[in-house]
Amino acid sequence: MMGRSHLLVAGAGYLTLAAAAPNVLRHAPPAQLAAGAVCAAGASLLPDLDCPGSTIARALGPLSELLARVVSRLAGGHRAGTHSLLAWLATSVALALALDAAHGPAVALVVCTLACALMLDVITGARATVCALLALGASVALVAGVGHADQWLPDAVLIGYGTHLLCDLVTVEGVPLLWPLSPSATSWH
Amino acid sequence: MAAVAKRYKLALIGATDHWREHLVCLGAGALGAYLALTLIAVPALAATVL
Repeated sequence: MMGRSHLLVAGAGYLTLAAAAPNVLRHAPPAQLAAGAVCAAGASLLPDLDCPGSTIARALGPLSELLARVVSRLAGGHRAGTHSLLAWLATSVALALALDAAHGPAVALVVCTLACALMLDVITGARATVCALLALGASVALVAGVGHADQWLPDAVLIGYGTHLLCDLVTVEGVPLLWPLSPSATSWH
Repeated sequence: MAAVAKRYKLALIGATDHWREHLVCLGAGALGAYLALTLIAVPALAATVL
């Protein structure tokens, strides 16, 4: 699936969950829902960090490209390790722990900047530097203005990452959900 | 003949996936816009006005 589809499904999925089961998102106020939807949409591109030519790999220039190459090598190529339940849970738990630590606001700022930069890149197609600068401004507003990032950001990343796996699950190629136990892909096509 | 059939099948699958993805995009966009209005914009506007 393309980045645009992942973004839209993740944003809509986050808001659908907020409407259908408000308890899951702790009855988040409108500002937190807006911030969460943006970050869920951006986080939906995280699993594609295993593909050096993907949108997320190009988002922050040479830095993200290098990171993508490292992740691709560690995960075993595209649609391997990063598209598994293990990676989904590990990313979500690691982020929740990092946000609870002393440097939580800095982590929130980095994650929000990446999410906003990805959204801007996919929607506008502008240069990576322009997207990154605009995203930094938006992230400062989100983290400082909305506040309580340790509450809504882990939920947003969990939902965004999860919708990516769900979307790729219905494609012909499928995803290796049980990697590394079973490297074969599951497909609901 | 088999090669032509295979190519036709691949083209068909590609077209199906192409349109399926467009439908997913359209549906998710419409649903997201509706929910953003009802869950975010309207409550925020009401809180500002009232």
